[in-house]
Amino acid sequence: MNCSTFQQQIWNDASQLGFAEKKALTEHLNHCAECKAISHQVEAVQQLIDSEKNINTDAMMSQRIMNAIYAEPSPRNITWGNLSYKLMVAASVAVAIAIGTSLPILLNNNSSETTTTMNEMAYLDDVTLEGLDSWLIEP
Amino acid sequence: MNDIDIINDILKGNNRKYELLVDAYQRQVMATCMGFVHHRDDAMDLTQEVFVKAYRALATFQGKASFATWIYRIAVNTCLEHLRKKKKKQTLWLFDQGNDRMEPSHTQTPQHEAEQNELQQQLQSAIDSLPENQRIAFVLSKYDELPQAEIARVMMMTEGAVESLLQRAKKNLQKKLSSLAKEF
Ligand SMILES: [Zn+2]
Repeated sequence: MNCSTFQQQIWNDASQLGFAEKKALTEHLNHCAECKAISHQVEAVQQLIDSEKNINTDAMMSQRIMNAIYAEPSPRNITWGNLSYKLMVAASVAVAIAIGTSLPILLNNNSSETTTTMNEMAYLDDVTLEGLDSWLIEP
Repeated sequence: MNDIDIINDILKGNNRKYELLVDAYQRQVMATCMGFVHHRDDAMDLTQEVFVKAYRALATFQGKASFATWIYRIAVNTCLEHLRKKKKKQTLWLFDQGNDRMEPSHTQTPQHEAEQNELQQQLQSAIDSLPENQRIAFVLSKYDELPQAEIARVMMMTEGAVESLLQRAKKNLQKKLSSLAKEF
């Protein structure tokens, strides 16, 4: 095995490694300064992640969220008023996407930057679009 | 009672049932938010925002994806939106964000604490400087411990694309961390 393979293993959870793999990794780290350094760095990142993801939230967090929820109107109240508003937003989004996709083609611009922006847009609008999708089929 | 039954009950007017979803997913949403903002109070505010957004959109939830996938997607979008707004503000006022991050534990000497705090901020900056898609995949993988298949569903990508994003994220982080190597 080479350093690149060991460096991939360093990022994996130690519990995912088999006995033989663990042993080979430990032996390699005893001899390879580069992988040893990376192992320390990854360990530091993992410690940061562990401390952040296990951070205690306010004991009243659920209550706090539910108080915000009780202040909201019921999610079942779909009126024709906001439906037509949603349809207008859907139409605007569709037009914006159509313009966005056709412009680079018209300008014959194939830069990767444009592609990233479009992917990002499609991704970011997903929640909105999934919502709009169902607004459209709702009678 | 599964998530769909709970959602149907809520849509029939029983909004108290939403607490079941909040209790079931609050920890994961909080972990996602911490992965993006590294700040407890901000992450708590964002977690609340995520659940309110999900509640408002509940009638549009079609069950094409699981509720878990759906709420992760809302969480990622909410965090990215928050970071964009914050970046805009910072560009306007050039505020120092040094004290805005997670505080270190209080069991250390002041000097050790300061060093740890600095290292922590450098590690956070290294994660934050990843390209957006790599950062999303990394947070979902490391903070939420989601398997690649679930990350693929959240990000609406193939598993192969997620695997490649994660590999590049780790390589990029390794590069950034090597430049900090003297700190370790
Ligand atoms: Zn090596």
